Amino acid sequence: MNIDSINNGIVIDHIEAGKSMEIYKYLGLENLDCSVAIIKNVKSKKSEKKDIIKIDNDMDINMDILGYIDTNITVNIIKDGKIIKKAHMELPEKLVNIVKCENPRCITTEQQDVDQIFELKDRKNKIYRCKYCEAQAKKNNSII
Amino acid sequence: MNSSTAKGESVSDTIRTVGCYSDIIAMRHPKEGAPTLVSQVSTVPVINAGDGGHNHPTQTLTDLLTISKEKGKLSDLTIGLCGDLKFGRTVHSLITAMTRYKNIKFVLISPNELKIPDYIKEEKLKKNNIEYIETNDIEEYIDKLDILYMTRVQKERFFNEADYVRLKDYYILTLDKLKNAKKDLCIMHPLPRVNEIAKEVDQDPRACYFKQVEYGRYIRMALILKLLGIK
Repeated sequence: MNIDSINNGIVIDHIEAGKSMEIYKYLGLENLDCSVAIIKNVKSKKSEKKDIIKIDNDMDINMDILGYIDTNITVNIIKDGKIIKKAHMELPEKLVNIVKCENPRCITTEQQDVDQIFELKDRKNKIYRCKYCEAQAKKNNSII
Repeated sequence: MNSSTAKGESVSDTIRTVGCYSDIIAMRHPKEGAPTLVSQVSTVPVINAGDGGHNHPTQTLTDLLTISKEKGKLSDLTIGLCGDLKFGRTVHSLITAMTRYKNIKFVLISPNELKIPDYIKEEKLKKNNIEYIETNDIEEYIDKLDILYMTRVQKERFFNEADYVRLKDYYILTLDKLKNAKKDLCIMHPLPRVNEIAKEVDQDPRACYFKQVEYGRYIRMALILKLLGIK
């Protein structure tokens, strides 16, 4: 299968196979006007299979979201057909307005104008807790 | 404050307003994390006087003073926590505080539905290598306890009244249940109590819960003086 290379844009590479749609939603890529290619189950040297997302336009990518989802992801910024920057992901210390606290007793469920903030409490086990009520962020928490 | 909230005012706006009239704000709020939120916008110190089922730090200061005065120490203690350990904010705060002291052991006594939250076990107890046992039976380890901290099953924490009715009288401490307890056991309760401690226990010298109220008055006075900068 051939997907055209891009001249100016972003390639999100080394996505764990099957997670590309999750990233598509988290980054709000459905709102873009440009071409976006989601390539699933690509053969990979590092792991058996991977997903790739190609975005045919410049845009600001929220690296915190990608680091939260998978630290193996790399982001390549392409300009004039060349990679001008390759970024590796890290677990962010803080998630701001990325996931929503689902504890019905949390103040953030009542005060709609409050930023949803989760803080990294356990790097080894990737545990994030709500800054306010300390409820743990779960992978199935709503996306903001 | 109630009338502004009823009109739809945000809790942050309420605190900014109240801060213009006061030197300190003591805030009790049903939603968890409300004091953390308002402390970010308040111009005066905010005391968390209890936020939902989350934390109750001034009760913990009270509890620490009670333990220190009644036992003469804050280390080398086996503490039984009994009742609603899931929503019991005083219990969560007390465990957090006691992790600072040496050789503390906990006996966590609750029905399965009201067990201590996993995050308290993982991040407070296991992380600090604190020994603990979980049990449903109040009498099983009562002879080992230096402190027995009773809590009320709180109606306001349940979304389903049937669950509350089923669990509210799960534990009732009586003199008979105390027959194997140590002579110098210290029985504590953050109050108000409903049925979880029988009235007959009030006359037992081991009952410390009304003294605990008095210690609460002193510690809150001390906290207010500190925040006002008065020595």
